[in-house]
Amino acid sequence: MRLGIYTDSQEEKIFARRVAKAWARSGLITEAQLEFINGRTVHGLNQTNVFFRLLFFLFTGICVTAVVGLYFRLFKVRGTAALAASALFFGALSYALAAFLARRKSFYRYGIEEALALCSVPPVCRGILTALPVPDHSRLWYDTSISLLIAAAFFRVYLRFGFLYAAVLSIASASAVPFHLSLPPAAEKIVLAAALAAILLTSIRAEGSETRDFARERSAALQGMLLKGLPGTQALRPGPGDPRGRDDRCRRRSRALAQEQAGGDEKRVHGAAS
Amino acid sequence: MLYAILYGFAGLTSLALRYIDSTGAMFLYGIGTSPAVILLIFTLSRRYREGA
Repeated sequence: MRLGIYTDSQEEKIFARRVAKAWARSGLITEAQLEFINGRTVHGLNQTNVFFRLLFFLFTGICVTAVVGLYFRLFKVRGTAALAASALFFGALSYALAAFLARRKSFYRYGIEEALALCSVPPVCRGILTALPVPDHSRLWYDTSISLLIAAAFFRVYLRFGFLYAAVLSIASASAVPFHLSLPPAAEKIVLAAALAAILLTSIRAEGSETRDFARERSAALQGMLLKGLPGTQALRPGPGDPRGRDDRCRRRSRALAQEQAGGDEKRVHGAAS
Repeated sequence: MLYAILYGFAGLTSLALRYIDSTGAMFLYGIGTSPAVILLIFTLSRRYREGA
């Protein structure tokens, strides 16, 4: 079963065009050669520039948020079943619209389908979690499952549409799981580093059998980000609102105060002696 | 033209923020204006690309 919404041939052609454009910019090929390559790599997808992409993304995001907000405001949805059903409906609708635009209207990184696909994730996750029977309503269960669900949903969006940032969001969301498990700070960092290393190794192994250039490029970008993020996990510190960090901060503050006091006493002794 | 649309939207939004006093109306305003802006930009960009 093919997961991606665009065909491999389309993705390869877009990749080839991008590479040829970079070559032309560097002077490796002439304008005529670039035109020839562009003529041989017609992919039939609608693309736009970065500025329009951002604008479309922004306005689609505003529109989706306004529609969902107005619905919840007008119908005053309160019950669990109604909340779950509404959230799932809006999530599915948004995702279906994104798929429709990508498939039928051939939108490729146009901003509109990207915003719709990303906007489908929070309602779907919220709907699933609201619909699922929670045994004891524990915070740990809720936080862990929402992180994993969001990670899975973003990964699905990445597989379907190929948005690299969806994969990054998925990894970031999965990375939050160790911090919900009430582990000691050192263990949290170790678990997170191990998880990121496991994803990196899996990606490297999968890339070995990959022959498609666009997919290799995507996994190389992901691997780069993971490699950058791995050392960063060890520099993580508990935030200001985190009670686990309070003891450390108190200890550091009292040590600094004690040092200041000791310094003051020393000066006083020196002053008296002179 | 694009900047005119964006400035127009920004001006409309500031007016809306001044006079709209309910969240529902704000949502309605968002639903009304966002697709309009998208459609305008979309149409203009197509026309520009086609050289019309």
